[in-house]
Amino acid sequence: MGRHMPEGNQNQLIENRQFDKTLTIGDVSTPPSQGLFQPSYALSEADYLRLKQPSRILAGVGGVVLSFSLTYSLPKIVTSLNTSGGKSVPIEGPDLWISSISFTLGLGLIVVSYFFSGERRRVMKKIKKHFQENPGELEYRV
Amino acid sequence: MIDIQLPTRYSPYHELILCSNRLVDVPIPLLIAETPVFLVGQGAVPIIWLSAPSEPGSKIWNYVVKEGQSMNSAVEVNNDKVKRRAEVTVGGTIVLCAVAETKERAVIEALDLRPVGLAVTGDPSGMMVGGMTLVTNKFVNVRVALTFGS
Repeated sequence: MGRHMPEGNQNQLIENRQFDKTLTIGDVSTPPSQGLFQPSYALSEADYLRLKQPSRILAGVGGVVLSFSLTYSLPKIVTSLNTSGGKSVPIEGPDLWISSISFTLGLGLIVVSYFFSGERRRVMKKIKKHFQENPGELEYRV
Repeated sequence: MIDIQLPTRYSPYHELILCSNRLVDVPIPLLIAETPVFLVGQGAVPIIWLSAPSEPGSKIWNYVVKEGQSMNSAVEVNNDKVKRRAEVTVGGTIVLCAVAETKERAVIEALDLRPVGLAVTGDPSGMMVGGMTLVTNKFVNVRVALTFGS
């Protein structure tokens, strides 16, 4: 970008001139300076850990369902893959359904447990309350 | 060339009178830290954007008035549809007052950027920028009329 630099800034009168380039002026900052200030939320390590922690009940149930799915389906998969007898045994429809539904449900519960944690909700409420009570304000600071 | 992001809803006036100085096809009147200090866009009432430093001395400037709406309780925006005038005040000081004369032309009648930390003031007779006075100059077809800093 083309720029025009004036020779000096002190008590200079620029009158009736035409510019086709940007006019650059030195530092014109002046106190009191005003800014938009937003008090930050002091996040303790305990709260941070609570935010990271999933819901124990949901994660527990998810784990049980998932381990059921694996113990149910693994022997069937092994049998199906074992082709030493000459012909492979296909996994039957109901078994396939039970395995896949319980596997998806177990995984789903574990994922959901990260979003529906009571502890986490409490901390989020605390943070929300902090920002409601301390909105961003313009302030003068010299 | 610096790539300056302008608000998508901003449509500049063909001619903007900035305290006696004529800005013709100049989308950004004043620029600091790659942020427009203010913008006056076309509308029934001039549509104002105004930025302020995020902290004292900060290089980061954020809009405190967006599309003629105040984003901060300390900043007041009065849009007078009858007089086609938009006025931004901070703590009783008129920071910017713009009047739409026609669809293509608006006039900045009052300017005082000291509340946002810039020694820039102006009235219909001229504009004071630091120790410099700018009177009846013309800026034509420039992206930025005035910029601050090195």
